[in-house]
Amino acid sequence: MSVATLTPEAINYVCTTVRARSAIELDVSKSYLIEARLAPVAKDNGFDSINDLIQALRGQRQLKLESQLVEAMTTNETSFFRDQHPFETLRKTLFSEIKTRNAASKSLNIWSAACSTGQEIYSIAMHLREHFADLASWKVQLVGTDLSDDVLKRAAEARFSQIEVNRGLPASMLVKHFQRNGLHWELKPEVRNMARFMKLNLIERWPPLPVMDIVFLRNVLIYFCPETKRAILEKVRRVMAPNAVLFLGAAETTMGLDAGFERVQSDNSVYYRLK
Amino acid sequence: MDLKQRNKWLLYLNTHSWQDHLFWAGREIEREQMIVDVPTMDQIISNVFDEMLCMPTSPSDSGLECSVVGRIVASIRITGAMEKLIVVEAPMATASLIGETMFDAEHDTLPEEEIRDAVGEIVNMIGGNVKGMCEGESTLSLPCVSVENSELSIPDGGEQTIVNVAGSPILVRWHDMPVATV
Amino acid sequence: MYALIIDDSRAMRRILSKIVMPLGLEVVEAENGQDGLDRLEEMEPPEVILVDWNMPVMNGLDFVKTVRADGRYANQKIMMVTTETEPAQMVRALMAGVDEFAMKPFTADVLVEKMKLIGVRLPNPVSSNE
Ligand SMILES: C[S@@+](CC[C@H](N)C(=O)[O-])C[C@H]1O[C@@H](n2cnc3c(N)ncnc32)[C@H](O)[C@@H]1O
Repeated sequence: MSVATLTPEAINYVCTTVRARSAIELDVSKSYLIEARLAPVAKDNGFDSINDLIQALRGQRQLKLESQLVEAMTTNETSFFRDQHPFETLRKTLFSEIKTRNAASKSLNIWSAACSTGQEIYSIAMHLREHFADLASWKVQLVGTDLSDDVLKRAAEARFSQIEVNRGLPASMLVKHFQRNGLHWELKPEVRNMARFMKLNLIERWPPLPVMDIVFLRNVLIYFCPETKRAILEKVRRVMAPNAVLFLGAAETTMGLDAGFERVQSDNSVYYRLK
Repeated sequence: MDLKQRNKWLLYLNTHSWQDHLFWAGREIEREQMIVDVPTMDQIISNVFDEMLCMPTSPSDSGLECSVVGRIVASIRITGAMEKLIVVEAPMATASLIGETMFDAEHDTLPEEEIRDAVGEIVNMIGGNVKGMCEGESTLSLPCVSVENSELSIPDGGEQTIVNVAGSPILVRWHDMPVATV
Repeated sequence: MYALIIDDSRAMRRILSKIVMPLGLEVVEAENGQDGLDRLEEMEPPEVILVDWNMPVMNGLDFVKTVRADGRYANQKIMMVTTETEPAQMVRALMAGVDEFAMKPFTADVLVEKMKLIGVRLPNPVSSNE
């Protein structure tokens, strides 16, 4: 495959398309990233170069190929118990708080928006099994959503590589909740079946969601411009129960974007509660 | 973990699902003729080099040209539920490159002893990952590393894969039945 | 503050040191379990011990059992870093008293995250995510 560098028009097309379809902001400074990520897409679809791929897309709109291009430009980096602190806060305060608050309905709904390959929602699932007494008598819904079909498929499979389970996951939980299958580690069905996954593009129309008690929206707003962040936060607010809490990534905040949230600092973690 | 907590753990362990694993560990089972195919081995090799050492691997379509002088041969044995011999054959040039990466050393400064140590650790990681694929209990030997000057000859009955590591080839072969030591 | 790194491979000790030192810990190396016990006798307890499993003279599991049997090291943080990857082996190590278990091959992130997980104090705790 030829490695001719991308034409300015091609880069422009990629940035515009990715922004329109996902809100992810790219620019010329990311052209090395664009090339690295799109080379496999071009190759898999039988094009000689990325420029050819883009030429074809510009000639005639092909939604499937376009989605592949957009998905290839997402960053899916994630890990079990990423950043630790939010999970500590769940264990130390929020689980018991919700047990009291929802004692009548005995229901608990948690959403991992932009869930990538599922480590976040499954960390919550394992955490619930270990630290949420009476789990069995509650109706618990754990929902993971993402824009990318590819990561959703992997999340639903709940099969992880050795490197993936090595990262952030305590060995005690690994041996308790996973079984080895060849080179992979598979979550045991009782944990896997706690979560379900669906496609949800944060900037498009959302499918119906349960009213959420806890929302994880981590490490995705960073890719968006302020107006998009604002619009998404407002929509997130509308699916949250009164007193529900929102976790953002370590580098993200609602401050200056949405006055409907109150920032709560607890131990080492920060979360946002509906005002 | 403090002592109290650890004791709690032990109690927990004795009563909970980990027993499944211990059950497997203690069980006398039939020899598993675990099949390790080439894609699986390539994946293991990639985990070692691409992920851990940041040395990009790619499939090699040429043979291994390291017939005569100075080839590092590192082998490790798995015995128990799984019986395998795993051998890494690396021309000195590849072996040096791997050693230099692991030791973070300048080009051509690493003594042969360190290079042997490095390739020994590579076969150790590969062997451990192969062993881990089998549920029954097996043990891993310590790696055995030598410098061979003889013609590269591969015993029958095994499988092999040749992979370029940062552009230089290594050969990994594995044999189900115990074969004469290299 | 230092980390005691016990592995029979010099290459592996080097790789581990390269990960640990930038976090602000000094490094003391030992090449097998017995050598590790000798180092412990000579020095203040380390902030963390990273120990391999398969080693000549004294293996890592026996090292852990010996250390844990000694009241002075009841709270010593110990992480096993090994090419043993079966769940049954992990259970064995946990029961012998290791605080964490990392499988080889690993990445720097893996080790840093696991050290944080067990509360190892790191003078320069770089953020390991992104
Ligand atoms: C870095 S991952 C974050 C995973 C996880 N939340 C975490 O913090 O570890 C970002 C994810 O956001 C998804 N994403 C990007 N743009 C999106 C959009 N417009 N709608 C939904 N998901 C999106 C990507 O597909 C990717 O899986």
